[in-house]
Amino acid sequence: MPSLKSSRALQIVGRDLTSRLRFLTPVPPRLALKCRSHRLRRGVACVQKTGSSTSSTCFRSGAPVFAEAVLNPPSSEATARLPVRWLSADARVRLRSALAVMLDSAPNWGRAERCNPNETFSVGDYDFWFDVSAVKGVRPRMEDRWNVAVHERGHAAVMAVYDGHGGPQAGPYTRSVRVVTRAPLRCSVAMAFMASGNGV
Amino acid sequence: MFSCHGIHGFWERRVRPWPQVSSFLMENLSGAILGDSELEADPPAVLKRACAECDAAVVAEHPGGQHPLAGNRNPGPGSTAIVVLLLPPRMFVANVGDSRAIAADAEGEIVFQSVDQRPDRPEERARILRLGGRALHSYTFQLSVRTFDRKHLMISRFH
Repeated sequence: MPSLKSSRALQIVGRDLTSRLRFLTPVPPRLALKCRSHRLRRGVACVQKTGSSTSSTCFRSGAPVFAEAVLNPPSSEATARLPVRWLSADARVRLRSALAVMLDSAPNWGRAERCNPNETFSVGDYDFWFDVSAVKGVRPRMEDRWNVAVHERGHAAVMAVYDGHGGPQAGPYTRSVRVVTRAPLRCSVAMAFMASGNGV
Repeated sequence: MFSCHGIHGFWERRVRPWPQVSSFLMENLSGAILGDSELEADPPAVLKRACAECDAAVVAEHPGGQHPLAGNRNPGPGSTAIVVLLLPPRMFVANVGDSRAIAADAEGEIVFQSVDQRPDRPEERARILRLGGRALHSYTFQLSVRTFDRKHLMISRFH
């Protein structure tokens, strides 16, 4: 999350939340920040997760600016150091949604090494092309991950989909992460990996 | 191995809300496979070894049994994995859990389909019972959590 590091206001708020939560939870500070943002996110109806991998533009253009406007008002930095409890209800809602979008955004759902979605890359003598679509259901967080990695020498590659259960919430959700591989030029085989089950 | 569904409790909901295992696999499993020196010589062994290494790391990191209510019956977080290793002109598929890989030819005919690793399959259930005994049996079926949609979550954990 480059924009999380680049934003000083968010660093301040993150440190604040972390230091306040360090004494409350027996977990490392980074986890405490995530935990806190998770708690903040509960009950926010305006957080709509985007369902496609192209939402990085939304992530880059929308959310950090939004967070800056919330956390770094023209008056002073001191507002950013205030406990979240002291913020107004409106600011709290905006802070919640901004943090939720930043911490659970589509670019974090997968990782492509030495290749890109929607671009042809060659492995050995074959050309490959893949695309990713990820749809999060009613779960508050996307827990599935995908990964496509090409070897440094370019002769091998790994494509994987992981259906994670890091923090199961009560309630079912429909998940489907689908990586479709197409090799239209030399190899007419299409593969689909699905991490979608029966919705449980 | 990676596949489990934890108990829906405070610990998972509030304290550990992050999908840790799938993120860990996303960061590390492909590197473990591609970094192996025997990648061309014996790809199936490389896949098995990488999965075993990642499983050991996950179990060491999240041993389970930390639930304030469920106690040591809490299996901890987990993840499935469907991994396809491309070594053209060959492909190798490794599956842990109930994700699936399907390969089709140009006409749309399915030429390959991975086998789900689900406890309701007789051979998988027999394998679980053979490896883990009665404890795993109870894990799989007694710890099924009824969600409000009245569906059961399936758990299998190898420790």
